Amino acid sequence: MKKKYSAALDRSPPWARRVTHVLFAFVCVACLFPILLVFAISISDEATIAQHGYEIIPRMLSSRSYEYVLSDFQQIMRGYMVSITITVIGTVLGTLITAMIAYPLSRTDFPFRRHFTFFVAFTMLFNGGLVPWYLVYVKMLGAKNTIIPLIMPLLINGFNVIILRTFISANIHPAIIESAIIDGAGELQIFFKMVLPLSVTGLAAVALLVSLNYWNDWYNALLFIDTKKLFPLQFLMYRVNISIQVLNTSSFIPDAAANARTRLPNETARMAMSILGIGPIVLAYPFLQKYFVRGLTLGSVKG
Amino acid sequence: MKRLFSMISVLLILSVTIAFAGGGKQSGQAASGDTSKQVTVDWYWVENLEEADNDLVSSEISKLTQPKINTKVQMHVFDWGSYTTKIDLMLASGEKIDLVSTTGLPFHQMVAKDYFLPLDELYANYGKEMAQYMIDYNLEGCRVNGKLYAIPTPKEAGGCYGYVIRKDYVDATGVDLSKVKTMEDMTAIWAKFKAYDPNFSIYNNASAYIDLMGFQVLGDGPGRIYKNEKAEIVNEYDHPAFQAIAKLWHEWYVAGYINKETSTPDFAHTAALRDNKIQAIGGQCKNGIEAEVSSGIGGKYEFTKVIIQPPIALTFTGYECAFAIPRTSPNPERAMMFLNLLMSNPEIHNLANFGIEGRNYITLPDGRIDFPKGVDAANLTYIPNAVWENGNAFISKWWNTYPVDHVARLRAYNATVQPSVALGFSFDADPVKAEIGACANVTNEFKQAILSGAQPLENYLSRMQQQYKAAGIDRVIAEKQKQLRAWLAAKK
Repeated sequence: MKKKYSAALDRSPPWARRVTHVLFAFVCVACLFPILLVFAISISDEATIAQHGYEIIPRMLSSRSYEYVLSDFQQIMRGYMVSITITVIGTVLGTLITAMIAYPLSRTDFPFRRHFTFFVAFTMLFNGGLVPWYLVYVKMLGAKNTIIPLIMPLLINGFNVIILRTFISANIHPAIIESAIIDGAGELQIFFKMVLPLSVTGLAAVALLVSLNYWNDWYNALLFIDTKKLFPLQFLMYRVNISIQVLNTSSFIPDAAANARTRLPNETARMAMSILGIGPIVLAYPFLQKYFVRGLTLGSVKG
Repeated sequence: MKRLFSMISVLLILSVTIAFAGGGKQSGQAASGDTSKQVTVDWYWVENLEEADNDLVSSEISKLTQPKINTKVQMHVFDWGSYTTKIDLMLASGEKIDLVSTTGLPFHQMVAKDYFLPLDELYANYGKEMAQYMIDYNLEGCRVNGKLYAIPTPKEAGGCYGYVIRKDYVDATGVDLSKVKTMEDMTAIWAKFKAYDPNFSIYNNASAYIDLMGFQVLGDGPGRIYKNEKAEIVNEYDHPAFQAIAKLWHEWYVAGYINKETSTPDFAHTAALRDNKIQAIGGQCKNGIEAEVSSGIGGKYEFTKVIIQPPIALTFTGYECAFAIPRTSPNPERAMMFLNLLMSNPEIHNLANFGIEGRNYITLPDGRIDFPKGVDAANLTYIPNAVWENGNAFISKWWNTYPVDHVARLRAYNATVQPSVALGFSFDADPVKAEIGACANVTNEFKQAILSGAQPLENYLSRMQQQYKAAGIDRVIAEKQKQLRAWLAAKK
């Protein structure tokens, strides 16, 4: 039986606990501050920003940036749809495939186990390089301007496989699997009916990592997507920011193009987009967080 | 373990083969001029927003090009942020691109990578109609080792620097701008404006402050030619002219001529002009800049300009707005034929640049164009505003913020342009890339103080020069000097 943690069992002196609390309060503020600042800027008036710089308490409120961002409502909504679609599909598929690799690797009776583990670890250190990788998707799969290159490249991450493998071998005793075999279960049955339900915590941790990867990805869209209707939300944001940066910093942009800047959103609108971009993924956190913590601390506590 | 390695090597060989199979396609280079087969020209260019009507306009252009050269056209527009990455990757992997705008691309690097076709023959064979509009200086800038690698868009032949000033101030005070020769001459004019309106103030455009001081750009990084007199690289931050003008600007700042708010980074000069906070900006002064600035603030005020650094045609002026035909194009002849039409056929040109008449613009009785009823720049479905990139300024229509005789003025302007003493020279920045980056960081730190004149020069001059030295400015200049000397020697 595992003992639940409670304050009564904590035998550290009260001052130590207080110090810890204060410390963590500081960390919390440090984490929240940037988000609050971005939010404050997004609701500030552009002119006061230009005059006084960024301020945590807006001098003058304005909803203009949100009006601007939402004026292209359709595009934003489409971006949301694409992001949500790839996150949901990618997370489900990615987690499943990760588990399907991790589980066999955790079985000591799996032949060539070390070699396959090496293959997984190898991808964490080396990759094929940008151009061949691009060629595989564009030339071999013909997947440019489809949803495939938004999902496929992020499906498996060697690191997640290793996490999950360690989790399974630490939490599922070989005797459990042996007993299932004795009861006449096939490999697929064992995997879906025993292993997956028993490793929910580990799966949830991996799922959170994978979903964050999908939600935050803009790079695949940059490489593979030319049509507006498949732009994920993060790429819309990236595009605006990087375009402003290019136009502002390059000395080699014709002045006529620099004038085009007048049609790009201003500082506050960019911040408003960031706030919208945080969106639903923030809601996923509280639900998955308890699993997340348990999943990642696996192996550190002997139970 | 042995088996494992053999497996890995098989995989490696496989991927390399795929890479070559994809990229190795050679296009037929024989100029046949045969148009019996219908092809599609994929035309790539850069703009900050994708226009809603891009595909519609592409199909309208195709309707015109099909009977003439049996070719369909499809435009592809990427934003500034992704353009270089995407085009580079597409060309590296052998994807089909028929025509690509070189704006914002590392042109010389791409030529060195052998991405583009040499165009001399194609241009001679299929570019006859557009050749009559071409500007020789700009063509010269598109040559690398004597071969033509891009076709520049016909427009102004070079850039010049000075001040764009509100016309009502000039009219009210009656100053004579034609007498202005140097930066010092402006002091008296600013004084008159200040006396006329105590709120008067100006802004020196951050991206052009060094050019405004009379140093011409010579590729990336520091090291410039002063005043176009001799092909010699100077360290602009050590040059007496730099110090003299920086001092002058500080005097202006103290006298209140330079707006105090402009010392903040990201100062939005367009908004400030519109809100009557500043009344003049220093920077690029090419032909038509008055109209461009005016339309940039919604036509609220009229502008005039005074040129202090006369126009010079640089190598960069040539290829900054030009078209290249990549090796991955299966039909380079058709690409050139289409480019020829785009630059010489007003119907196709105006379609590509302004969209469909009636839907995207209307023509006024004097030949200029205006927004159709009920729409403006914010919600028009096709307004790339990129004649400088895609067009021929001599056959183009112009928005009604431009003067009626814009083209005549452009010709007159081009007649005043002088070629740079280093026209045709291009700097290969690769050997000193790290130093250039470090110098740019130093520049960013001091730029604002210099151009706004907020601090007296003595306060930071020695510190600035020390930091430049530490960043390796001397190595950049030595490298540039070496390359320029080699280029001059080869030219003789």
